Amino acid sequence: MEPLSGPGARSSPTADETALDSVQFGEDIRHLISVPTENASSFTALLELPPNQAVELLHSPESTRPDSSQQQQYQPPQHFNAGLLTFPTNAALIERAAKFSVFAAEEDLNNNNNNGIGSPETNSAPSNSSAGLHKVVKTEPAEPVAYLNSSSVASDPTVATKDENQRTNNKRKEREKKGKGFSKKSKSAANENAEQLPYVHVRARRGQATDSHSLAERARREKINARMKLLQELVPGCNKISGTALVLDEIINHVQSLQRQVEVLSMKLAAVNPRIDFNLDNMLAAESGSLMDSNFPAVMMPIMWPEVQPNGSRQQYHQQQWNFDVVPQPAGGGWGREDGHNFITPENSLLSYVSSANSASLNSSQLKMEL
Amino acid sequence: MSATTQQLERNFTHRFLTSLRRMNSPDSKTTTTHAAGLVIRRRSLRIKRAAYSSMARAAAGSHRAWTRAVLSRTRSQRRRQQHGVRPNYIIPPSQRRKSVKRAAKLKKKTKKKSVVRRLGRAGKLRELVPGGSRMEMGQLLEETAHYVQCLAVQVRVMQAVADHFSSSM
Repeated sequence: MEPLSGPGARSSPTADETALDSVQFGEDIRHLISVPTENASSFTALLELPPNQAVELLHSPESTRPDSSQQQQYQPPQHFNAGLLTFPTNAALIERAAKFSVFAAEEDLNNNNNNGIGSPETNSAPSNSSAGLHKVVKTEPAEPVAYLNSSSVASDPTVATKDENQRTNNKRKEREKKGKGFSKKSKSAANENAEQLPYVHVRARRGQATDSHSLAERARREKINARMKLLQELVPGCNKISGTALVLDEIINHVQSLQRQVEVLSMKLAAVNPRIDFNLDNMLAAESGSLMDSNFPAVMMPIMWPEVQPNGSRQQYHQQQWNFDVVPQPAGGGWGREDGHNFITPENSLLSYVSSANSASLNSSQLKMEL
Repeated sequence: MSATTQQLERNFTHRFLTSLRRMNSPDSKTTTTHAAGLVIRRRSLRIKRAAYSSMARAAAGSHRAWTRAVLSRTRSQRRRQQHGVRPNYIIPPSQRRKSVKRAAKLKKKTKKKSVVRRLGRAGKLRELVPGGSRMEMGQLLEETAHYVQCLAVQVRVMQAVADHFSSSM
């Protein structure tokens, strides 16, 4: 391929550009379709050559023709190449093929002027790589190709076969169909590129809207769904429920129940607390906050209040009573040692109560060991 | 139980107990002047507020929307208390006097709230989560998740403290 496009570069710079592009395009197509397309690209390279060189080269690669004619069915841009490639079957029409190649070059020049970017293939190349196969059909170069075909048919009626006529008609229809959507498509593609900077994780799948609003909306929805899943794991009994509304109901119920529990517990503490606060002050005034925190229950344990209603855990109460009956209680001086011990392992005292009532006995057994 | 939860639990326990102690020290003189039921109600409210604010401090400080909302609310309540405005639940209903200004203010507030309040389940959740009325849906759910975790810890610790008190008596 390279040696083919080489001489073209020397003769005309624009032709070289298009040839390189066509090479690129051929590679893209090779990615998309399993059919080997090297020959086609070589032909496109050939077409960009000045007429006399193209004529020379067209004599030798006769064998490549059927391949390219197969590819007509897949690709409209290929049609541009292959439609011209059907001419050399008759040896008499080689000169005309050369003529068309010149024509094609002129078209490319026009395109260059119109687009201001480069040949149509350069426009199509990135979209090919980014989007799927279905986008290739809708890409821009289909338009100039179709124009080219129709014009070629008009200018040289002897060359045009019936097949080609039909094909061009089909292409024209296709173009008219997709011409409407095309401007939108290109615009949305640009939007997508702009949108993918802030939301990298958002990707529009096939058939999804790609304008900025729907992308943002989709991102928001995904975020909400993720949070919902997290909440579902947090709230017990929420895993089996499906449906956002039911899950939300469950979450609301859970939060309400927790808040009610806090209220009830604060009531309980308020009812219980006033009788304790003296002792709290007296016993813990000298101690620092962290010490108090760790030793709070240990200090409060020996105080008995028979008149207070024993809310809730009667079991624990009895267990503790029993434990304290068994364990010989030290008077004032003994607590200092226990305090020191508890300061080392602060989780033992209060946080052990959190888990179960059994921890109370564990605590007291520890006390026993210590004593 | 993860390490962060344990840490949160310890932190909350410490804060809650210190605030309880602080609450108890000046209160012992005033308890005799009021009826017992009112005192308990008031105390329970104060304990609840202390629990919430200590939870908010222990959990995230000012890094979360809901903790910010809780702390600002407690701050405003404290300010009101310092300025000598006694909340309604202390004064018996017969002695309550409703100034016209305050009544108008209250009316306005409720009206505004009803406007702000949104329908449906999300609106309900907004009312439950502190500061939820100003949140966007995704943020609301995130804050709800954190809030639920913290509430669970809070309930557990408070239960432990209450159990301890009631059992040790």
